[in-house]
Formats: sequence, C-alpha cells, structure tokens
Amino acid sequence: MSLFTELATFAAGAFAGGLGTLLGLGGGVILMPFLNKVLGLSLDQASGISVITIIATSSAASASPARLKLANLRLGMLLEIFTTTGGVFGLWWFGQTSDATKEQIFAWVLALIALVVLSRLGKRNVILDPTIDVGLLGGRFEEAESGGEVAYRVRRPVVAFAASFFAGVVSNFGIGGGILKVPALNTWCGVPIRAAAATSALMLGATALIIAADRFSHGQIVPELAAAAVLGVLAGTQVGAWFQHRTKARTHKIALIVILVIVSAIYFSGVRR
Amino acid sequence: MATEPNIEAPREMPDAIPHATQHPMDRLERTIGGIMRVGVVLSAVVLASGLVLLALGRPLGTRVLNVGLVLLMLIPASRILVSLVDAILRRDRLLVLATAVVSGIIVWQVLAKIL
Repeated sequence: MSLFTELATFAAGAFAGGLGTLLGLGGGVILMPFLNKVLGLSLDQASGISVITIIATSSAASASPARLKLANLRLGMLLEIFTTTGGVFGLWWFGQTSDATKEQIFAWVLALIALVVLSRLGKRNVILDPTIDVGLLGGRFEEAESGGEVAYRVRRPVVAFAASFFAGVVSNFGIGGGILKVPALNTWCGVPIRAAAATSALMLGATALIIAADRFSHGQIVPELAAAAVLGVLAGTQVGAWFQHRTKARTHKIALIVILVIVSAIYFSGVRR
Repeated sequence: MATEPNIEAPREMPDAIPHATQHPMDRLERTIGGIMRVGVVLSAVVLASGLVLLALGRPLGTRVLNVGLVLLMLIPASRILVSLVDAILRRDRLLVLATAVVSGIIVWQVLAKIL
C-alpha cells in the first residue's frame, strides 16, 4: 500500500466526513465512488471500508451534546429494528447479485432520492408552537433559524419503518442509509431535516456494524486503508459539525441533490461502459 | 421482598417529577454521549498508532489496526446495550422491545461471524 494511496484515502475521508456530518449522509455516498472507481477496490471491499467509516461518523457526530439534543432517541431506537433487519436482508440478497446489477440499482436509488428531495425543496415541517403534545414518537429542540424551541409530531410511522428497512438494505452499498432515511423522515413523516439527520446519524452505527462484521469476517477489509479513511472522516466531521449551525436547511437540501445526481451519474455511466 | 415505593415517593416529588416527565431520556443521552466520545478517541488513537507502527516497518502495526477497528465496532454495540439497560430501568416497554430485538440481531449476525 503506497503512502500516496493512504494520504489520498485520508483526504477523501475528510471530505466525505465533513459533508456527511453536514447533510446527515454518513459520508459513504462520497467515499464509495472514490474507493470503488478511483482506487479500483471491489464493491465489497469498498463498502466494507465505507461502513467502517460510517460507524466513526455516526459516533463522532453523536458525541456532541448539541447534536444528541437534536436526535430523537425513541424514534431512532424503534427505527433501528427496521434498519438492522434490512441490513441483514441486504447481506443475503447482495450475496447472490452481480456487481453490474448492484451498480445499476445503486444509480437508480440515488436518482430517485434526489427527485424526492427536489420536489419538497421549499417545505418546512417545524411546528412553531412548542407547547403542543408531540405524541409517542415526536420531539422538540432549540433552533436559532426558527427563533426558539420548536416541536414536531411524527406522521405516517409506517413510511418511516419502510424507509428504514430499505435504508438498511442499501447500507450494503456502503452508504449508511441516512441518504434514504433523512429525506423520507423529512418529506413524509414531518421530522425537521436537522432532527432527521441527527436521529439518522445516531442509528447508522448498528446497521454499519452488522455489514462491517460480515466484510471483516470475509477478510475484505484492508486495515491500512480503513484506518486512513476513518482518521480522515473523523477530521472532516469536526469541520462539518462547525458548519452545521451556520448554514440554512435549504442549502443542505440543494447540496444533497447535487451530490446525489453526480454519484448517480457516475454509476449510470459505469454500467454502460 | 415486597417493597412499597409509594411511601418514599411523595418526599421526592417536588423535585423529581417535573424533571422526569420533561426529559426522561436525559440520563441515557449523557451516557451515550460519553460512550461515543471515549470510543471515538480511543479507536482513533489506536488506529493512528497502528499506521505509525506500519510506517516504521513494524509488522505489529497490522494487529494494532485490527484492534482499533474492533474498538470502533464496539461503539454502536455498547450504545445499544446501554439503551436496553436504560429502557428496562425506566420500564419503557416499547424501547425494551426495540433494543432487545436489535441486540438479538447483532448477537446473531456479529458474534456468530467474528467468533
């Protein structure tokens, strides 16, 4: 393993970690194409390293008390049943699917999520009266952009369950699954995007653990690259957390769409070649 | 062993109740935050040491890196375990069920493969 490869992996990790923390993505959507398309690792090797960095991003992001306050622990723990089940299902399903097919599914998934986020760009889900009863799964938090404490109820929990299951399945691509949960929780379930991102970040770790353990046991994880990526991601996470409260929710959504479209295009063109 | 918690309760009420009803998850939040901070710093230090050892040409580095990766994987595992214990202590049935199911899946998937 050349020093240059490790430094490049560290840099890619830092970039992925910074943006991942900001957008609640876990960073894998940026790291995956780098490891897979730039370094030429197999999908399984790349996703193995990527899910390990997701454990690091998830943990580092949730280590900040301010971010843990944004997270909805009850909702997260309930949804974790579905993300982990989806993760296990994905392990089994992807075990019998060709890489070309996986890449095509990956490209479609990203394109569809980009469309969903785009269609709901201008909507806000925050209820400004903080005295409402938020119900069994709702939550409340302080937000400067709205000028005080805000509250929200969780609508359509079944949609959240289904999105979490699919998020668990696509975690096998090394993309965490925040990429599915955050838009779904925000768009259909009424959870403000920051709360959705913090909740998603917290629960990413469990599914990532299951997939990482699978890749680890198959000897598919290159330890030097995994370590370089993890350290890069951790450095990037610090920068991302600093920017979190200094940018607007609308900016987050636009950045999310741009990234999704680019990565989707990379995988669509890879299929044709 | 029949205890009567109701006799003790009124004395605690003025302080304990408003706090407990407003933020029942505060204790868990602090514990999880602590696990995350310690876990991340510990695994990062071990991983960085492993990379330095490898750069110095010591084969031990690879083993140190694997220890660091396992430490990292222990973070979400211990978070779920702590959440399960907290849910049992607070008698939060929904969360006992949720965290027990997730713990079961992790034991089934992870321990079976690693051991």
